[in-house]
Amino acid sequence: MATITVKISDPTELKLRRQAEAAGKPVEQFVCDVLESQTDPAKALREISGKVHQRFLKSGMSEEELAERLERDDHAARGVPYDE
Amino acid sequence: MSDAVERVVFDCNIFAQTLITPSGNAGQCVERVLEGVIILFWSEYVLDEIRGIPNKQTPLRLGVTSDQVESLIARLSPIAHLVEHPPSVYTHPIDPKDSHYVDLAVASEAKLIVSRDKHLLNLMNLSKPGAQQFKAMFPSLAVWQPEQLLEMLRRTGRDEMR
Repeated sequence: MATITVKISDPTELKLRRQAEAAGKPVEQFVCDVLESQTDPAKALREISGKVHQRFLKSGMSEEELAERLERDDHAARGVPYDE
Repeated sequence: MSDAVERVVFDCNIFAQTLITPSGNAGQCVERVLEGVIILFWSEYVLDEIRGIPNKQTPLRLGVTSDQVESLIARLSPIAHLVEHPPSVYTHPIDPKDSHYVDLAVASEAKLIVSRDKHLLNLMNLSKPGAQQFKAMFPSLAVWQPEQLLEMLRRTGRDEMR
């Protein structure tokens, strides 16, 4: 395991300790988990999407259909013809 | 265009697709930004468009929320570069809204706009209105679909940086 020493402000340390306590982890473990999550963008994006992605999968729409719908919605909302 | 693409601009709907299907091609492009493989430039205009995603018909139907949008912005903000007030240098012949993405790319010296917008993509088709003028004005600027960017990153070995 590598070790990196960083300086953080007192308010940030307080927030981290509070969040670690809420997560039921020692602050060192909590900070480590936060940093680990930063290096796994795919996981982070899946977490942000959450149930929306499940709804999309259930809809049976393909990625191409989604892209087409988004573009058509966007242009229709602005009154710009999309098929020109 | 050169294989040395690093600086990119993403159309708003790339972020919308990421929120809806994060493992899709658009989501993988955003992943490459977060991994530091490519450098994303955005502006207040783009951020406003992203914040408007939950009000659009399809995202609304799928339940995309403002909290999710803010989480995505918060995740990208430390690594994306904000360009303040990019000067207006281009007017798209069909959809003036698309002009900003070109202005932003020029201001940030990006070589690539990633989009699925037909009007932006048509700028690469010299038989389409305005494409020849665009090519003459910005010879090193390209508009690609997400899968084209991913393919280029694979082909040039840039994905190995992940």
